[in-house]
This record gives sequence, C-alpha cells and structure tokens, in this order.
Amino acid sequence: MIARVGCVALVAGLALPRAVHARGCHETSDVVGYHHCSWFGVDWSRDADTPRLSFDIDYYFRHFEADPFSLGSAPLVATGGPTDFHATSSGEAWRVLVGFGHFVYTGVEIDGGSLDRVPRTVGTPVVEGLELAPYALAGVHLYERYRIAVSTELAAGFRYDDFEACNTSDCPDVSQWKPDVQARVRADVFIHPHVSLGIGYGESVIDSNERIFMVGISLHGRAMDGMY
Amino acid sequence: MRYPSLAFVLVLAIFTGGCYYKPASYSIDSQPFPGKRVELACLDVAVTLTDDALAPPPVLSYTFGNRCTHGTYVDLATIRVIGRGSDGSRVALHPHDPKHELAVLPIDGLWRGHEEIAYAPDPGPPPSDVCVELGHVEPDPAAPDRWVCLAASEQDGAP
Repeated sequence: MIARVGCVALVAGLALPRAVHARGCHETSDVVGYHHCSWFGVDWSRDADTPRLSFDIDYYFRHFEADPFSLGSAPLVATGGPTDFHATSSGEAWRVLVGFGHFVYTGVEIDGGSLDRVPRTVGTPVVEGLELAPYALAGVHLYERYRIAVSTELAAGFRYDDFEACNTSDCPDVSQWKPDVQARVRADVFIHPHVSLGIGYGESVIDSNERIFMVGISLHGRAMDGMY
Repeated sequence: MRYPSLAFVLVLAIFTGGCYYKPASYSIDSQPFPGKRVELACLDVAVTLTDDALAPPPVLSYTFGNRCTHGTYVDLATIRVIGRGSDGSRVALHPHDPKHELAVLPIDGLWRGHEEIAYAPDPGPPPSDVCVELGHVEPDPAAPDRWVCLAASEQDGAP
C-alpha cells in the first residue's frame, strides 16, 4: 500500500508538466481524439514531458594535502614529530543532475563534511575541521547495459577547509580555499527503475595529492534514467 | 547530519517500491492488464474492447509494459485492425485520430502505458468482431504477425 501511494506520488511528480497543462480541465474521455486534457503517449512515453533528472546522495571520502599552515606558535599539546599536511575528510555529497539526450548530463554537487585525519602542524595542533566543496558537474554515460551505467565526469569548483584547534568559537583556526577540478569515473547499478546505487572515484587534475571516493544512492526521474 | 539523509533515502526507496513494470507480470500495481495478451521482444501487450461515453464502438484498450531494462518503441499508429461483420464480411478499421496524435513513441525500460483508441470502418456499421495485429506494436519488420480477435467470436488467430 505504501509503495502504491508512493508510486502515485512519484508519477504525479513526474507528470507535473501535464498537471500544469491540464489544470482546470475536466477530462470526459480516455480515448485518443476524444480527450481534450491529455494527449497520446503523455503517460508513458519519455518524449512526452519527463526530463532526465537525478538526485544523488553520496557519502564521500577525500584525501588531500593542505597548504602549510600553523595555528600558532604555542603548543597546547606537544605534537612531536615532523609536520604532515596530508588529511582526509568525509561527509555527504548532494548532487542534482540533468540529462541531455541519452548520454550527456550536467549538474551541481555540494560536499559537506568533517576532517577525519587532521594535518600535523608546528605548534598548536589541529584537533578537528570542517569542509565544504561545491562543484559544477559535466559528464557522459560511457556504457549503459542491463542495469549498469558507467560514466565519466568532470567536477569543477572549489574546496573550503577549516582547521581548528578545538570546537569553541575562540579557538585558533585556519581556513583554506582551493580551486578544484576532478576527473571521475562512476558506476551505477539500478536496483529499481528509479533507484540506483553508485560508486565513484576521482582524482584532482590540478592537485596530485587529492583523491575522492564516493558511494551513494540515486533517485532518477526517468525509469532507468532513460537508458537505451 | 547523516541520519536524516539515511532516513530520507529509505523513505524514497520505500515510496518508489512498486512504481515500475515488473517483467512478464502483465500488471500495474497488482492490477492485471485487461484482455488478451501477447509477448513481443520487449513489450508485454494486452488488448481488449472497451466502452466510452463519447467514442462510438469499437474502442480498443491497449495496455503494455516494457520487460527490458532499456527503452524500446511502441507503435499503435500503424497497427492493423480488421472488423468482421455478422455476415462474415471483413473491413479494415482506421483509428479515429482527428488531432493526428498517433505516433511511434519510445518507452523507457521497465515502464508501462495504456491507451484507448477508437476505430471506425470506412464507412459502415460497427463490426461484431474486431481482429488486431499486435506482432508489430514493437516495431520489427522481421517479427511475425500476431492476430488477436475480440468480442463476439473471442477467437485468436488470423482473421
């Protein structure tokens, strides 16, 4: 029952253009040529009204190297050892994609997370950090068969990282903004015509120390995302 | 922050749980396709005669689902329909399409659809039986004819 209600809601959402078209129209016949609120194919053909829209929610893991910095000269805790500005972060990546034709897509992505491995600095140590990274995306489906789609995409944007000595407002912190362009490959397996599970891997083309791994779930407006 | 997203995903997954065509099920949301069934390369097609308040008979109701995970085409525009009179005479029936809507249209993988089309002899009274060739609803020149007859005789086979 829930699934059926959800199905109705989903179809109603996908049919928004038709609903707008038919607003205030009282249909008197379901037969082609006699209906005047609808038209042939509107409920089932991809050419009717439904764009290739996808919403992704991914969990990402990123490895990168921060630019050298220091939170201050007075250690709160003895850090010891050499400096190491390699760091890892993880969090959620929200993606909205729009397809053009059968293979090309574009969209936006916002990554938001926290640092898992913090840089080792001179002096006051980094204890935690936050990350925000918006990107514009452009990609192409390279392979689409059965329930699998393999894609490659470019993600261009910037990465904001905030390195903090503690979690209060008066703690020393350093923020870094870095432009970022990533080349990624991604594979999606459709577990449902409107839902796929995906994994992705990317490397920055302007920073050899940055890599990202993503795993998540996608909701597609078109069955099988309009795959041929 | 992660838990709301997980819940959101689960809700989406639950809500989309039944909204697609299950291959060979001949049903939508547990409602069976009405009428006689024909299995094509990717399409499961069912056809039956139906009534309509405005359209004069015969009106054919087509329900179809795409078993394949890739898209295919549905051709209800050039489908051949023949009426058989009570005296055994045969006449070709033509779809009522004053707005020229009928066309060969694509359908997504694992998706389904339904259409009702009225047919009229050229000219003449409504036939007692209607035979429709469903073998080429999914366009394939090499596919064999698949005639289905409806109404009084309720017999499948070539007209």
